[in-house]
Amino acid sequence: MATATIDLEALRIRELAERRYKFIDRKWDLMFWVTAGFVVGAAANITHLLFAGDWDFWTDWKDRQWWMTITPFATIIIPSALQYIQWRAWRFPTGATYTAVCLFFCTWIGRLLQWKYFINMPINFVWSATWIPAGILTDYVLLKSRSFILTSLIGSAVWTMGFWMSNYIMQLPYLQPTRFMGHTLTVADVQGIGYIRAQTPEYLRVIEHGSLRTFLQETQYVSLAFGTTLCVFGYWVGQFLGRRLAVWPILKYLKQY
Amino acid sequence: MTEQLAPPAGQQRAPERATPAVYDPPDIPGKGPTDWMGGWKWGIFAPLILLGLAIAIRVYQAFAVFPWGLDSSTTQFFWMWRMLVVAFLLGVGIFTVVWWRWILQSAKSLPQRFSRREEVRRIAVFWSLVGATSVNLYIEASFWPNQDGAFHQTLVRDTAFTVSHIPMFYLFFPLGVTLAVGTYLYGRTRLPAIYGPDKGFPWSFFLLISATVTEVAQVAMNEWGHSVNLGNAGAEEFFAVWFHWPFVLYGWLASGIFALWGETILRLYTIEDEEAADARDTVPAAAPSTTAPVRGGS
Amino acid sequence: MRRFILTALVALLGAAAMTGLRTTSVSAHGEIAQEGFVRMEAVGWWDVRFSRSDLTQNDNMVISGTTKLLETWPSNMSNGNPEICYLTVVEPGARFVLVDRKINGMESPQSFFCSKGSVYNFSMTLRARDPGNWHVHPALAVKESGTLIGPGQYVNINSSPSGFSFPITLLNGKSIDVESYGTWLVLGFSAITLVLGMWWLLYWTVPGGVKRTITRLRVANELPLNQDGGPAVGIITRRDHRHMAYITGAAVVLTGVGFLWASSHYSGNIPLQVQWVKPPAPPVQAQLATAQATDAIYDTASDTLKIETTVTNTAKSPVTVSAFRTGNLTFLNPIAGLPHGDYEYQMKVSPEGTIEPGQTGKVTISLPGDVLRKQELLPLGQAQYVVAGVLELTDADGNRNFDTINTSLNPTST
Repeated sequence: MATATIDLEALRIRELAERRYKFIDRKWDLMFWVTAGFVVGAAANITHLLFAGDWDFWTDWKDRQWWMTITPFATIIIPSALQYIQWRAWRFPTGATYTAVCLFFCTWIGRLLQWKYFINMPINFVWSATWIPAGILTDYVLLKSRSFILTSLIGSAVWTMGFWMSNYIMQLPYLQPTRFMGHTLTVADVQGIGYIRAQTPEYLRVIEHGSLRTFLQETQYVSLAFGTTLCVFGYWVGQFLGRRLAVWPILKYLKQY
Repeated sequence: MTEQLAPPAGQQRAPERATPAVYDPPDIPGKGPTDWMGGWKWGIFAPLILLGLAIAIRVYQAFAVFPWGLDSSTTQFFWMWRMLVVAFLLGVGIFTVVWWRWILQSAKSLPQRFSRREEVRRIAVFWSLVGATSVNLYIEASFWPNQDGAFHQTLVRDTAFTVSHIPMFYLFFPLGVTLAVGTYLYGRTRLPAIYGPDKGFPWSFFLLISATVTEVAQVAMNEWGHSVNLGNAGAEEFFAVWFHWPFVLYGWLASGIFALWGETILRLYTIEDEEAADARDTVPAAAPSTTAPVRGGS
Repeated sequence: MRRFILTALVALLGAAAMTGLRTTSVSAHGEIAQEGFVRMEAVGWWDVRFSRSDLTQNDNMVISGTTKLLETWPSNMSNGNPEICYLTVVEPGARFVLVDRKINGMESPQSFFCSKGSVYNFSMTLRARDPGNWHVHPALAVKESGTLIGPGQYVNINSSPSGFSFPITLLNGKSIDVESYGTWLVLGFSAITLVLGMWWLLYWTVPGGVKRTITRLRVANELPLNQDGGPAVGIITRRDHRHMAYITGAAVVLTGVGFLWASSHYSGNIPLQVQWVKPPAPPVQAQLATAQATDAIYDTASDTLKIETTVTNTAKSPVTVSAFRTGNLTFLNPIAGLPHGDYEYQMKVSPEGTIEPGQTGKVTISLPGDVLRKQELLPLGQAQYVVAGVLELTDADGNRNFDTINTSLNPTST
C-alpha cells in the first residue's frame, strides 16, 4: 500500500518534470547558465584573489605549506554556495564544477590580458591553478551522498586533495633545482628573481621558511590535513551564502524600511 | 512604507471605473516575448556593450599607460587619467539619471492591464537586466581586480587614482549601483506581481543593491588602508591584505541575485499554470487573459 | 541573429587581442608621490651608474652604485629599525631579467639582512628582454616600509631577430629556457581539465527532455533536499550516475596518472628556497671630516634651499664639499664635477674654497628650488619639516667621505 502511494507520488512528480510549457523554452536555460556564469566566476575570483590571490599569481609563491593550506579554504566558499543553489533548485550536482569552469575563464582572461600583456610577465610564471578536477570530484560526492554534511566532510578532503594533486602536476617543473647566483634555487625562485616585480619584494613571500618543528617532508601532509579542516569551515561559509543570501530571500519582503 | 499604508490589491482595482483594456504586445515574427530580438534583445546587447566598454578601456590603457600613466605628477597624467575619472563619474551620473528617470516616467503611460505574454516579455527583459548586472559584477570583481593585482605588485603606486583603479572604482563600481537599482525600478514598475510597491522592499534586491553600494563605500577604506603605515599592510603590496577583505564580504551580498532568478521563475510557473487552466477551461478567450490585476507602478 | 552574435563576439575577441598591443616608451615612475622627508631621511644613493643605455635583446647591462640606510631613518617606518631588505629594480613591467646581484661583493639572489647606518655597494646585471625605451631605477625595498626608489635613467632595447631567451642549467644537467619552460604542460593540462569540466556541465544542461533547467525548480520543490526521487521520478537516472562515474573516473585518472608521471619525470625536485644573506661590511674608509647641518632655509624669493653646515676637517689635507645627495637626486659642486645622467644637478657652495686640516668652517650649500619642487623633495605640507641627505667631502687625493646630515626646514623668506 505504502509502495503504491510512493509510486503515485513519484509519478506525479515525474509528470511535472516532463511537463511542456508555453513560454518557458530553452532560451531561459541558456540565458540563466550564461549570464549567471559571470557573477559566479566573479564571486569565486574575488574571493580567491583577496583571500589567497598572492599564492596563485606567481610560481615562487606556490609552496607546499601555505598555498595548500589557504587556497582550498578560499576557493571552496563559492562552489559550496553554488552546490546548494543548483542542487536545491534543479537537483543538478554541478555547483562546484560550474564555479570551477567559470573561475577558469575569469582567471585565464585575467592572466592573459593583465599579467601577460599588460605588465609583460611570461605566462609560465603567472599561470593560474585549476580547480576543475577538484570540482568534478566534489560534485560527484554530492551526487552520490545527496547530503551537504557528508559533502562538507568528504567533499572538502576531496577538494583539497584534488586541488593539490592536479596543480602539483603543473608546479613540479618549477621545483627543479638549479644553481643561480651561486645558490641552489628552484626554477620558480629563479623566475621570481629574474622577472622583477618591484612592489612585491622576495621577503613578502608567505611560504615555508622551515622551523625546528617543520619535520621535513611531513609538512606537506600536515598542510593538506589543515587545509582540509579549513575547507570544511569554508564549505559552511558557502552554505550560509547559498542558503541565507541566495535562496532564503526568494519572495521575502521588507515591509518597513 | 507600511502595510497599513498600502491599500489591498482589491481596492486598487477601483471597480467604479471602467476596466481598462488588456494590453497584449503585437505579434511580430522574430520579436515575440521570448525571441532573441524580442524580449531577450537587451540580454544580448547590454552584456556586449559592457564587455565592449571594458575592452575599449583596456585598449586605451595599452597605449596610454606606459607613456603617460605611471607618474601622477605630470600634466599628461592629469589630462589623460585624472580627467578620465571626472568623465567616467559624469558619464555614469548622466546615464543613471536619464535611465532611471526613463524607467519611472515611462511607467506612467504604461497600460493598466496587460496580458501574460506581455508579462513574460517583461520578465525576459528583467532577466536581461539581471544578466547585465551580472556581467558588470564580473567586470568590477574580476576583470579589473586582476589588472589591479598585476599593476600594483609590479609598478609604483603613487596615487589613489592609479590607472587600474580608474576604470574599476570610478566607472564599473558606480555602474553596478546604477544597474542594480535600475533593475529594481524596472521590476517595481513593470512586474507588480513580484516587485510592486505594495509587496514591500524585496530582500533579494536589498542584498544585491547593498552589495553594489557597500563596494563603492569600501573604496574609501581601501585607499585609507593603503595610505597609512601599519606594518606591511599599508606600506607594501600584499593582495590578500585585511583591508581588502571587506570587498569580498560585501561582494557576497550579491548572492541575492539568485533570489531574483528564483522568484521570477516561480512567477513564470504561475503564468504557465493560469495559461494552462485557461486553455483547459473552455473556449479560447476573445481577448488575451490577464495576469497581474493592475499595474503597480506609479 | 546568429550572424549578429557571431560578429559581435568576433569583434570583442578582436578588441581583446588589441590589448596585446602596446607602446614602447615610458614616463618616469611615481617616485615623486612618495613623501619627500621619507625619501630624504631613509636611504642615500651615490655613484649610481648604468653601464649602457642602448642594448639589443639578450645584452647585459650593469647598474652599480652605493646605497645606505641612513642614520636618519624615520621612526615611523619599520618601527625605526630596518632589518630585512631587498635590492631591486623599478621598471615598467618585466622589460629586463635580473641575472646577477652582488651586495658588498656577495651574491645576493634574494633578500638580505640590513641595518640602519650600513652601506651597501651593489651591482645588478640585467639582461635586456623587451624592445623599447624604458625608464629604469635601482630601488631598495625595506620590509614594513616599502620600496624606496633610486636614481633613474632611460635605457633603450633594440629587438633581436632571435628574440629573447633566459637559459639556465638544471642540477640534473638539462639546459632550459626559463622564458618558456613548462608553458605547454600548464596550458595543455589546464585545457584538458576544462574539457572535462565542460563535459560535466554540458551533460546536465544541454540535452533536451528532463535535462531542462528552469522548469526543474518546480520538481525540486517537491522533493526533500536529500532526495533526488531516484529512477521513479527520473530527474537523475542510472545513466546519469554512470556517466558521472565516467567523468569522475577520467578526472581521477588524469590527476593520478598525471601526478605519478610528473613526479617521476620531474624527480629530484626541492621546496621553494629562502636564501637570505648578510652581506659583509664594505672596507672602512678613513675619516676625513665631520659635518653637521645647523639650519635649512627655503628662500621663496630666490627659490633656493640653503643648508647651513659646520664641517670639521680631521684629516691631513684640505677637504672640499663636493656633492650633496638626497632622495634620488645628486647635486654637484661645479668645481668637483659636471652632472651626467638624468638625476644630477649643480649646486652652489659658499664659501667656495677648501677647509684646511684641523679647521672648522661654516659651509652653506644652495640647491635649486625648482629641481627639488619638481621632485617633491621640499617637504612643505608634509608630516615632518626636515631636510636630510648625504654630504660628500673630498680631500686633495680624491678620497671621499659621506656624512649624513639632517636639520629642521625653515620655510621663511630671507
